[in-house]
Amino acid sequence: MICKQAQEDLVGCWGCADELSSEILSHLEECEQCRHEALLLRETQVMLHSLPVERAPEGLTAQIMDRLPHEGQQAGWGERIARWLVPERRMQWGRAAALGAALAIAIAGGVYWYGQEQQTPLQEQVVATTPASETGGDERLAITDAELDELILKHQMLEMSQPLADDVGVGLVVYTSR
Amino acid sequence: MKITHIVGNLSRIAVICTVFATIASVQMAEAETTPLSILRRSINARTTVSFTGLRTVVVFENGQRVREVRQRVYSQAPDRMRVEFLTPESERGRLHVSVGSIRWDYHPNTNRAVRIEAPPVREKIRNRLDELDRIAQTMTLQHAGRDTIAGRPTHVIKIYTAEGVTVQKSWIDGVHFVSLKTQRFDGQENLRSSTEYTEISYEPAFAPGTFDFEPPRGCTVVESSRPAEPISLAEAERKVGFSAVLPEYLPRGYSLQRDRANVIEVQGQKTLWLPFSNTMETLSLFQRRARSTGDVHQGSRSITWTDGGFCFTLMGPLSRTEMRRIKQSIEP
Repeated sequence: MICKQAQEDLVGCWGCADELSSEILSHLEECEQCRHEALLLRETQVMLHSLPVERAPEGLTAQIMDRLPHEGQQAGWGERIARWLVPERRMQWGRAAALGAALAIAIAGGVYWYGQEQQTPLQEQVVATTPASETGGDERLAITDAELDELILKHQMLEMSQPLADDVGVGLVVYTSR
Repeated sequence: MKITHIVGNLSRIAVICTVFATIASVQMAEAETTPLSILRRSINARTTVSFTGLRTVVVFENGQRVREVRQRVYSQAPDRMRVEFLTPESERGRLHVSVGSIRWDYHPNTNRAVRIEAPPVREKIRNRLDELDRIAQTMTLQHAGRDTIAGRPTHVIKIYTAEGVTVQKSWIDGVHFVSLKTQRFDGQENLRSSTEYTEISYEPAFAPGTFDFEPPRGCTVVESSRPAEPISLAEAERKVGFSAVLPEYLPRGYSLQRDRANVIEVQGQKTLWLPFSNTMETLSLFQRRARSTGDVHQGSRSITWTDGGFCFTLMGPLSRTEMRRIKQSIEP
C-alpha cells in the first residue's frame, strides 16, 4: 500500500525528494524498488531538461522556399518519390496520416538514438567546445586558464576550512579548469 | 553476627559498584561510536595517523562518471602529505606535496609548479573541529552500520539535511579513524564524487626525500599567497570599488557568509570574493570588472560568464544544472 502511495507521489513530483512527505522519504530508505522508481523519474526529468533547444539558422526558410520547384517546372526527385508513395492526385488523409506517423516515429527514433549516443558526453560538450587550445587562444573566453587556476586555488583554500572536506589531492581531481 | 553483617554490606556494595561500572562502560562504548565522535576522531586522525595507500577518485556529472583518477598517497603525521597521480595517462606524473603550511602542486603536462602558502595543518584541524559542531546542529548524522573497505573494518556514517536528503556518506576506519571511502551527493541525491582506498598500510616506511619537492629544470613556478583575513561584505565592496551582484536563487540550505567576504588580486585585477555555505560545503562567487565580453566557460565545478560589464565565476560542489540556475539568477 505504501509502495503504491510512494509511487503516486513520486510521479507527481518527478522523484524530487524535496516535495515528499517524511513518511514517504523514510519508506524510500527501506524500499529499493521505490528508490529505483525515484531515480528513473529524476533521470527522465534531467534528460528532458537537458535537451537542447534547436533554432533554425537565419534565412533557412527563405532558402528552402527558393529551392522549391515553381509551378510548371518538371517535378524534382522529392516530388517523384512523394508521388510514388502517394499515387493519387489528391492525397488520401488516412495514408497521409499513416505516412506522417511513420516519419515521426522514424525521426523520434533517430533523435532518441542520437541522444543516447551523445548522452554521456552531453555535459562534456560544453567543456569540449571551450578549451583555449581549440578556440585559438583565451581571448574568446570570459576567463583564461591562468585566471581560473588562481580562482580554483583560492576556492580550495576556503573549502579546506570545511570540517569534512577532502584532502587537496581529491580537490585537484574535482576542480579543473577544463 | 557482626562479621556476617559486614560481609553482607560489602557484597551489596560490590554488586552496586559492578552495576554502575557496567552502565558507565556501556555509555562510554556508545559515546565512542556516536557519529559525531567518529567524525571528530576522523578529523584528528589527519594529524595523528601515518599511512600509505592507493585510492581512486571518481567525479560524476548527472549520474555519469566523467573523470577517474588513481592516486598513491603518502601521509606522515602530523603534517606531511604526498599524492602521486598514476592514471589516466593524461594525469600521470602529476604531484601534490605538502609539508607544514607549504604546498606544491606540479603538473608535468604544463611543466608548471604552483607553490601555495596555506594555513598550518593544526590551525585547520582546530577550525574544522569547531565547525563540526555546527554541522551536527544543522544536519542529521547517522551511524548507518559497518562495512569493510580495503580489508579494513569501517564505521559507515551518513549525513542528511534537515529535509532528509543525503549529502555525504563516509566509511571510517574502525581502529585508526582514517576516512577510507567518501561519497558526496548533490541536492537530488545523485552521486557527485567518490573517493575510495583500495589498499592501505598503517605501518609505512617512507623513503628519504618522499616529502621533498624541487621544481624540475625549466619548470614555470607560480607563487600563490594566502588570502587576507575575511572582511564584511560592505567593507569588501568599498575596497573593490563596486557593489556585489547577489544571486536571487541559491540551493536549499545555502546562504551568503556576509562576514567572510574578501578582495583578492587575480592576474593583477581586483576581484570580489563572496562565499556561500550550507555548513557542510562552500560555493564561491567571484566578481570583477570585465575586460571584454567573452564566451561562457564551463570548467569542472565552475562556470564563468560576463554580464553588465562584470565577469563572474561561480565555483563549488554543485551539478551544472544548479550552477546554471544560480547564474541565471544573477542580474547586474
